[in-house]
Amino acid sequence: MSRILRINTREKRYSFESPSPELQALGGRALTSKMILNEVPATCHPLSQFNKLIFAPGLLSGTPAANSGRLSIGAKSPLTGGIKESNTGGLVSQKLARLGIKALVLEDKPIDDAYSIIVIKKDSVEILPADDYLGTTNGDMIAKLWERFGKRVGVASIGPAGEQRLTGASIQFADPKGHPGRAAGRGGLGAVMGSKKIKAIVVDDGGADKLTLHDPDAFKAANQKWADLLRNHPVSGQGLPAYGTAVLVNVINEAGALPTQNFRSGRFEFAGDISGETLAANIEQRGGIVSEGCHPGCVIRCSQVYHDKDNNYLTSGFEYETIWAFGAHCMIKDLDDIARMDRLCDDVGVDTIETGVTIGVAMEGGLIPWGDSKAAIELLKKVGTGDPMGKIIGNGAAFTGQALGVDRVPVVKKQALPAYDPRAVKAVGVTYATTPMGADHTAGYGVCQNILNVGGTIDPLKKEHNVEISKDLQIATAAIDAAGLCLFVAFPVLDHAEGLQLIVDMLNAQYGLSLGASDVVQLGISILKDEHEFNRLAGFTAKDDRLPDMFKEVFPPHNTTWDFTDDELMKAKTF
Amino acid sequence: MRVELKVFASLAKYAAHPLLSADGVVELPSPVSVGQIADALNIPRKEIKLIFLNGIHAQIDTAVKDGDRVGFFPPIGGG
Ligand code: SF4
Repeated sequence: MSRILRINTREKRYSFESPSPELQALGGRALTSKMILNEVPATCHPLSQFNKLIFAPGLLSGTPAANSGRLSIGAKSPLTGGIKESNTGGLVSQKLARLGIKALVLEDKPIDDAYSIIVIKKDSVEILPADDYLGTTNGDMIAKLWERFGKRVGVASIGPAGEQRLTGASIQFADPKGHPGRAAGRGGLGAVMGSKKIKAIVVDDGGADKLTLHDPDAFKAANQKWADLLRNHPVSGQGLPAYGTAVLVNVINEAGALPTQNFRSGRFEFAGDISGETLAANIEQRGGIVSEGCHPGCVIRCSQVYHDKDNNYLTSGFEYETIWAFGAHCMIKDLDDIARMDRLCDDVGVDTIETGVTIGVAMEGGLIPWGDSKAAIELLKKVGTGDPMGKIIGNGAAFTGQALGVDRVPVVKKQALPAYDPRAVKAVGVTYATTPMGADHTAGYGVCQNILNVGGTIDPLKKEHNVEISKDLQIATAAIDAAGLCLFVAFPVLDHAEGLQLIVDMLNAQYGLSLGASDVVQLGISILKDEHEFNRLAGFTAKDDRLPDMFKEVFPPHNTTWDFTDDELMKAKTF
Repeated sequence: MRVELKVFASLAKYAAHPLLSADGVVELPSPVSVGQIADALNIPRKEIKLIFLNGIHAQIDTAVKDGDRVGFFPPIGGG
């Protein structure tokens, strides 16, 4: 039976424990959020010894289930002040699961400034001095740790931004090639890891047995159908592998919803220059990799390796949200410079959405000119150096907006809005407002029904049905995150009823359960209830579920505004 | 009449049609529907999943007028 590994970062002690009956059936986000609610005082300072940082593989992680290698990381967020689950690929999730570790919990914090790394193997847990690694970027950190502990060990690390406990700091994860291209980016969890003086976590599952499945034959049969479902759906089987997530640039622009120049309009004149089509063409021409997985067992493979004009490696996992944040949002049209900024963020260890939006806020505040990619790169290079301006930028959009006297700051619960304007994709706007995470598109991706005609069609410009669809998607997403599945499985699952049943079949075959589809919905609801309860205890009220005033401005080309009342939004949180 | 037409992702290959100018304009006798534009350019209707007419979802039989902006996409997603 899998266990919970607790590490006291002050005493440098560890212990294993059996999960309580309440925690036994939970995994991924269900487990991190339940434990944060139960164990972290909601009013604590997120960087204090009372906060905990919890890494939990999803329920299916470590099995052969396609696209099941996703990891949930939970804590009280230093950025939002509320609960956070940040979800990532990389190698750690499957390896923790194979080592029989249901959750890794970092507790307390050191009283001195000495840093450690944690090394978890089949028969040992070590907490080793890490002062030699201080100031090391995530890219170099992974290279050094692979050299020391073996290629392909799982690595989670923080860069200089996390060491400085900046609220935009991420935790970066080695992808299968050893690039730091996967991130638990949102919500400043890198700062929590920095507060506990943990520079990196190494997970080596060498010698571990395969996970025992309760009914291997039933599992295999369900997984085969599952993988076929993912491969045969045109979005997950063709669109994502061919162009990556950046395929969205053109469609969101065409829909008039691509936030441009800090959410002033929905069309960017140079969208074509930063599109997925251009990205894929550049890779074809220059070298690099058009399609790869962020973890073994991904059959969708939306990730890629992107090279510059001279065929030198620039970045990996180059995603739509990043391209939008440094691109249309900042009026930057040079895709290679955007790739350079993606790499800088991965290396110094900051969230690309938060940081890209912040650069746009800095442009709004007159610090650098709109569209000036070279000035943006220079500003970004200051993050993590200790330079005061770099500290301001590294603390995110809300902090930078305040520092520069800007009134148009696109955040909810202090977290920067992602790449869909809430006035032109209203279902995702409802999600930004009401998810316990702060503005987060992944928490309830209403773009599916509003723009992509996946899982139905709902008018993106009107209010009707958009609260309900956001709520349903938030429930489904919470369950997908608990299962450890990549969110992109939602495209086929929303279109095909058997998808949800196959997930249930795999869970039942793995654990010897007899769950039904309605249990999965109940699981999603219970996760959200836990998260809303934590935020309530932390002091959040209806005013924290509002979008900023700037979204009352009329938004071209469709000339819509944000027009939901508090009462209407509350329905997305009423279960 | 002149219609601004954009074809994206796997449909981009159909942009090479002589009726479509380099800057993405197609001239057709009116009246015309979205589907008739696709037919004129030899874009198989079954490959088109998303149709935007001036940034709003349209259907294959929606009428198009002079000066409209039309966008065709295959099934796509991301996030
Ligand atoms: S589809 Fe993309 S994000 Fe999802 S598991 Fe595969 S590579 Fe990772």
